[in-house]
Amino acid sequence: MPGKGDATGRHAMVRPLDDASHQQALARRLLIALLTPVLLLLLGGVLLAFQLGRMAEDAAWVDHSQTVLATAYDAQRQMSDQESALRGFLVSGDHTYLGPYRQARPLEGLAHLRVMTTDNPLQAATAAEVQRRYEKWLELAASVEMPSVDLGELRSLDAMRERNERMDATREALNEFIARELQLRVERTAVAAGSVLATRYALAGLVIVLAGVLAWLSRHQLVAITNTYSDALRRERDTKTQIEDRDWVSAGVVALSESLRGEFHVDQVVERALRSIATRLGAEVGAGFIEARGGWTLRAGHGFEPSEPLVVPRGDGLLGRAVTARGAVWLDELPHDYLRIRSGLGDAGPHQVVAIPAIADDHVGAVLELGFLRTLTMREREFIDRVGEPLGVAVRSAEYAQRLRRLLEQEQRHTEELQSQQEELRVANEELEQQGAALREAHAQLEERQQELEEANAVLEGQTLELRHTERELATKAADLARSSRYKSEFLANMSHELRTPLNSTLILAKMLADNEPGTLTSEQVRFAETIHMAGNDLLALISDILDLGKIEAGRMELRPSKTNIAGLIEPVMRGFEPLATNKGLELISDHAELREIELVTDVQRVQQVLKNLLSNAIKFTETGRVSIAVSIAGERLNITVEDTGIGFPSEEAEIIFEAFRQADGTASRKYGGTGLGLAISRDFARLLGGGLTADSVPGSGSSFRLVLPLTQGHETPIVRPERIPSAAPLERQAPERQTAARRDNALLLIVEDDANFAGLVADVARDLGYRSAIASTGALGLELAQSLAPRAILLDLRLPDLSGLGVLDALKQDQSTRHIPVHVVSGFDHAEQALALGAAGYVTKPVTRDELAMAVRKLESLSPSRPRHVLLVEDDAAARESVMTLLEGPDLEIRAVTSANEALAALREATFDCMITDLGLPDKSGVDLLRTIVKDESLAFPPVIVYTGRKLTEGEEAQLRGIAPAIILKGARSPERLLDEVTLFLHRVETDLPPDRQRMLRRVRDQESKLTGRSVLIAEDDIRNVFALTSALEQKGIKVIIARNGREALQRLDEQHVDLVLMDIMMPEMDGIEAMRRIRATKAWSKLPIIALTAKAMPDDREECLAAGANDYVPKPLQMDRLLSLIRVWMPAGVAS
Amino acid sequence: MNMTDADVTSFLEFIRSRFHYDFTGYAQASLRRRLTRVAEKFGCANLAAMYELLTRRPELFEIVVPDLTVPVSEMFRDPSFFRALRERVLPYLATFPILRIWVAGCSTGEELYSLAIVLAEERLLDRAIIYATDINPRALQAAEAGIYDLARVADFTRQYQRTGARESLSHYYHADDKAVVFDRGLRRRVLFCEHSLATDGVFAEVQLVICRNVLIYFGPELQERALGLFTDALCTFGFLGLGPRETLAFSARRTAFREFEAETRWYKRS
Repeated sequence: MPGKGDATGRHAMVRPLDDASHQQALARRLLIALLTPVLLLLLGGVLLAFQLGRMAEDAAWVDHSQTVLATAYDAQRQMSDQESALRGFLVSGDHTYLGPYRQARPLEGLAHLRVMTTDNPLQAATAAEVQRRYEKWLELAASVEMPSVDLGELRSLDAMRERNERMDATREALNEFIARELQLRVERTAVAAGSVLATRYALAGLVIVLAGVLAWLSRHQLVAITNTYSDALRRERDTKTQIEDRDWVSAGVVALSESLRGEFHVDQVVERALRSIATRLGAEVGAGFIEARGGWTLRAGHGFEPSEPLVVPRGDGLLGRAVTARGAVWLDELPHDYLRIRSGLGDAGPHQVVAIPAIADDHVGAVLELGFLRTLTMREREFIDRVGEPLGVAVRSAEYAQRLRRLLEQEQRHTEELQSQQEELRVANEELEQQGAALREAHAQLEERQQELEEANAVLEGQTLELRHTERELATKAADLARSSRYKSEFLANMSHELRTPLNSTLILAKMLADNEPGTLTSEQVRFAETIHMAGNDLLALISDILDLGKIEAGRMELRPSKTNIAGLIEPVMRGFEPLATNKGLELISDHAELREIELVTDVQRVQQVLKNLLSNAIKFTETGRVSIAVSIAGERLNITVEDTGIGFPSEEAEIIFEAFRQADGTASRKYGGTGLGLAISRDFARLLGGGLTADSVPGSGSSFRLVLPLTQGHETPIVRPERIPSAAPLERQAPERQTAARRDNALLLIVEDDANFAGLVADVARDLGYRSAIASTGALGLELAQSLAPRAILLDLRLPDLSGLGVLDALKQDQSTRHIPVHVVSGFDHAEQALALGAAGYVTKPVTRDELAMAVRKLESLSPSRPRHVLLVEDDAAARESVMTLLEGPDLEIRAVTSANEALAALREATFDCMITDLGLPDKSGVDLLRTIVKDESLAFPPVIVYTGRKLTEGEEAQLRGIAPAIILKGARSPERLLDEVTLFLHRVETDLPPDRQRMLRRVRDQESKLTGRSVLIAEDDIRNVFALTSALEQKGIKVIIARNGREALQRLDEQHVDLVLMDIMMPEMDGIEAMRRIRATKAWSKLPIIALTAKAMPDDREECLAAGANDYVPKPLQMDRLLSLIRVWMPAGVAS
Repeated sequence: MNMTDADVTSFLEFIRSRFHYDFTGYAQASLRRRLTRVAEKFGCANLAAMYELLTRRPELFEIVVPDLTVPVSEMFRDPSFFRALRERVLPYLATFPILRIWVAGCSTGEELYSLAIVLAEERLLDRAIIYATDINPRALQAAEAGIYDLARVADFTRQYQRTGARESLSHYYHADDKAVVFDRGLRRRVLFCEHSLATDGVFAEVQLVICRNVLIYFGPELQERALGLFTDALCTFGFLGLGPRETLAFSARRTAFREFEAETRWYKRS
């Protein structure tokens, strides 16, 4: 039976010690059984051999006796032969008879007998006697041999007797010996026969004893062997049962392992294990737990459905005990209501419950719990003890596998990410390469250009060298000239001033004398006095001329342009000269009648001065004929020609006459009087006014002077780079060294001026100071350029062809993008106060000198890049105030620091600020209250406010403040940085919004739609920007806005007050919009409340979710106000506003 | 696997119309790889089979999403980024009374918890509202749970220590023998929302946007859209933190920012 062999083998393997002893016992018994008869046989054999030896000895003694007897008989016979032979000889005497006598040797036989009977002294003695008696005979017989033998004697009776006697004695002794030997032989034969018998008996006895012993031994040993064998058989049976049990357990474990083989999740492992074990044991219920969420979590059930996640705390109950014990733990005596196992027919409580921990490396990964309706057998219990380990290993493997999978996935994703990054890098690289290629191309082009340029440069350099040389020479000369000219001008200016002072008193005194109020002077004296006065006046006029010239040349001549018409320009002058002409008998005529009403802007006083000069010259140098004025307009220019029929001058002197202190003929001045300065001054004036003065003459027949003035300047050249202005102004000659003043990059001066000449003049000045300039000839253009060019400063003429200068200034100041640009106003009109009120940085009136212009530009420069910014700082703590001021300190910043709310309000009433920084904790009023007051008071300008506070704010406070203050800064390590950022931002931000006060004005224009006015809308929105955008849009419509920052607050607000409509954001902290809408809809009172959901998500699903949660409609972010408003109108319930 | 451009396009279109997930703007090469992997995972020979499968069993899409979106993340990734956050960015942002933060593409939350820990250590967490958004609802759930494999925590800890740590990382989590769970307190100021950078809009004004290793998966147009959302969401002087391989350099939005710390990809809104 192979199974048995197997089993034995297994048994042997299982219990090697038992088996060995058992076999030893068996061998011992077998040995005893075998050895005992062998030993007995040996013993019997030895005995038998001894007996056989005895028998052989006895037989040998019989043989010995035989031999002795034979020898004895042989000796007897030989003696007889010798005797017979002797008698024969004696009878016959024949010696042949003596042959047997001689051949016989009885003595040898006798000696042999003696030897043979040494063992028997009696026989030996007898043998010796025989030998002795034979020798006595022989002594007698031997005489026969002797040569001297007497036969006769020998034949005698005596001798015969004697020999007979002796022979007989020998015979007698020998017979005695033989008899005795025969006796011995009989005895010995008897002994030998006895010995054989004894041997036979011994053998028979031995066989009998042996058979007996063998029989006894065999029985005993066989019984023992039989016992051993039945023992072994019994043991083998036991072993087989054990082995079967063990096989069952092993098969179960194998089946379990089988079922756990493969890649499973821990849950699956537990479930499969539970199924496998429960099925094998027929458990009625079972549950599998794994360690998770801080306890043992139910993951698998057998015989019941785990309804909800069950977590058994660690260390609790049966599970805990099983885990602690690291082995199965049994519960046998279960309370009746421990657990009911239901079937279709009824239910029962489990009889036994066991918890099996899955252990691997002393770590419990899972626990199974099984319930049975019966008590388990030993092998089932053993099975339970055995499953813990494979299960633990499987759980651990599953965990490892899971972890590995996770790691693998993570790795894959990392790889993926890396690949993506590579991809991205590659793309970036390509872009860079493209850019690089473009750059290289550009670079190549540039290089080409550069080469061309270098060539040109080389040529130019040569020219430059030459030019520089010439320039140096010129510069030296020019410097000399300028110096002398300046000295002269200065001298003149000083002189005329010095002269005018004493002259003034002379004139006043002369006038007083001429008036002769006391009447103390004679008429003669009065005439003298009048002459003195007249001469003084002439002198004064001369000095004025000199002064004017000096001023012009010194660049200090002021122009005062104003609007006028041609009649107003010419007629008063003509009226002044009419009496003089009439006196001289000259005709004075003008042809300007048709052009009387033509308007022009110019410095009337100066033009008239020029005209006066020309007319006075004409009349002076004309003796007969007429002086005529011809007025014409050519394009934008006004031509006034003064013609006379006087002496004229040679045409080659046409230029000389304009030079100061020179006249055509040195004698002329003596004859006609005059300073000779008039024409020089006139031409300068004409140039200053943007025009010119030319002369033409035929000596003897008269001369003509033509004054050209701009009428409406500048339209044809909206922007004129000063560099390109062909400047005719005398100022051009001024100080060439100033041209080298350092250039300022991007320092652009915008000149808004319709007078191209004046603009050119300003541009000159600006260029000297290092500015580039742009010129706008109209206000509209000025505004446009101010926005597009963002100039550093603006010089604004108040008198412009299209807009009022003040209007332009206001527009500049209202526009957030230009309001920071400093504006300097230049005008002939006196609007200084309004201009400054509107925000002008400074003001100069025309006529303006070059110095004044330079000063104005410098002032603008000092304001650059912006006009002073006014910051109001409200802070009660002196140290904090000081630190903020130090932080913000700058040339363009004026900080007004106040310590209380009331002071702040006072400051705001007094002035306008660009920015306000306020703390929240103030001594008299909280910062929030202060801000509210400012917001409410429409009379106060409300600058952008930065709240700078050390206090932390709640979300509510923040929301409240954010409506008022665009920036809130909490003091901290980096707060100065942020404060500086925010202040800079507010002071220079290009805002697209209107200024706040404008916004407020707009807001006041309420939407009159009655449907929305007075209704209340609840905005539930977490994003502050949207809240305020919505608030301002809705408030404009007259809607009362209620704000909630999350769903919870929205519900609160709804509880507190009446709401007509709700705008509900979806993504909000604490409670989101969806949840809030559900709750609103769950309340009966609000079931009809219109809700519009606002969401950033674009998915149709979200829309559905909103609608499902109770929204009436849905609006996506970013919000479009008009769309939202129409939605609000749609959903706003009809009814009276509450 | 053979996959023509047309296949990919029509498959993405199908996903967009059926599941409202818009992957059309994603970087093509990377998306292609992910599609291949997903198809293999479901045993589909091509995208047509995948289409078939998803039409028949739409619930499987939930499993597909994470594979398409690469929700990979670790805590305190690039410690220098977090060091800059801690030492330079947050002190500035501390001057805002309420700190609103948008963690865009928060994935499974590693970055979110890193941020929350730094905020907590800088004592700003109580003043912060964090919007944690992701397109993938499963990732969001994982983020909300805050449970991570124990094996990863050693790496997290090492990274954390290099950010100028003030505590031991273990201060913030509770571990059993398999996983750690991060303190509930770290997410008390966090709002988890599904939000797609491809289709959804701005939902709040924020002072800080962190969007790391998300843009790299986007194509240029989608990148531009996302950066537009960040630009609109950020207040003036707010901060944007990007991943180490992401940059504003090629975006039209760069003018709205200035580089605050170029090497750690911190930008300040101006």
